Amino acid sequence: MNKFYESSEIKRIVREFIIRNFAYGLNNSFHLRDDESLMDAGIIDSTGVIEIISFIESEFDVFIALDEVLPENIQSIESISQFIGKKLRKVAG
Amino acid sequence: MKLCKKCILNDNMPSVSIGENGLCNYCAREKPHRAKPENEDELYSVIASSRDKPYQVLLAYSGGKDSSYTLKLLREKYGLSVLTVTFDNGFMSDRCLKNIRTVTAVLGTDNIMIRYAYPDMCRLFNRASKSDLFPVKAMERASTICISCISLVKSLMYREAIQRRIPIICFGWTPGQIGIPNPLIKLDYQMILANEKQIRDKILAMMGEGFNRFFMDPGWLKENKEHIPYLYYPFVNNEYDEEVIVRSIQAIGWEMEEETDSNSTNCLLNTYANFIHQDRFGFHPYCMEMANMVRQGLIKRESALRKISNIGSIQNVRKIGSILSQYE
Repeated sequence: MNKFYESSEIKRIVREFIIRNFAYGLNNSFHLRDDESLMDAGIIDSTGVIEIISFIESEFDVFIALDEVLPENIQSIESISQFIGKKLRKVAG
Repeated sequence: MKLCKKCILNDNMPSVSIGENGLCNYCAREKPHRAKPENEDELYSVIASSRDKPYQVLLAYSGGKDSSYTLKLLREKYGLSVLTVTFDNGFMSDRCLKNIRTVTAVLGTDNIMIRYAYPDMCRLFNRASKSDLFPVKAMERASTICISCISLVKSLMYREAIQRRIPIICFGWTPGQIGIPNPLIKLDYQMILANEKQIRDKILAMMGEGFNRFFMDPGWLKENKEHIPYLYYPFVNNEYDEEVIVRSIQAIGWEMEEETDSNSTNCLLNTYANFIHQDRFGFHPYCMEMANMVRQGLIKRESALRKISNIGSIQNVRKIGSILSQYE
């Protein structure tokens, strides 16, 4: 059974993952905006997209279908968090 | 510079820190390794639905040991009809070209060799060697020259697969280069476009609009979205043992390259690219891949250290540098 997450906790986990794995090279990476496009900012590339998907699946114990791997779902910390929230709500029924 | 006592990462790498216990942050947070997925139903389902096609797989074939073994696997284990595409970046060794001819002949595989204008490629590699265009994470995985080169290869592969209606694309990535649980994935066209736009914009800014010819037209990709191929990563669900791999392909006539450094078995540019990268950033671009392989138990730490300390022939480095410097 999936653990329950508050939205704020999801965002915190996602932010930590992004900064730890991708944004460490930025000056003041902690100022990375939630709505900042990770691709446009040059923080993630195509391999990073796949790593994000793997992270979401393993961290939150959800399955992501191929047709869900869309820019709108993974382009920013905010959109990733919302995508995870939707997935978890769907699983919880 | 501190070195992790378990893998080979060093703290010159932006994402790496070495703790007081001597372990890097990657080793410190390492999770138990996933068992290799055994279920290949999805792969066989895709294969079965394409048995009537001339080719089931388009393989990016560099002539190196990993893509040569991948080709052998696809042909012999899975019985697939494979079209190999070789991107000749202008710096492939003679032995590598010979290996391509030999291996494709023995395995009965069609091969297409594609070569872009040599001056353009030299200018690209020269400028890339001095640029900071790519994400920091990408530059921890590969040299700026290699990132530039492989970006052209990826675009080429998608374009060829879609035009020829080939359902699966494959590269010879090692387990150290890929960290995903599923061997078979397919990206939505919007995701492919977003990925490509990111790299294309950077390359066009560096090289000019003329380089747009190497990338896919977004409208064309959208029109052909039903023909977007799967990406298959064979080493996610097949064993990787370098000694076994080399023995296996040597048995069909592949010969070890001696002109390159120990991290490449095909490309003369790789040695120069690694040298420049290490000089600029203080770490070898193969560190991350080798460290991943150490953590997975696929290579001993000492062997990995030897690989990245072998820069290859300094004469080759100077020669390639001299060639590229003629193309600003």
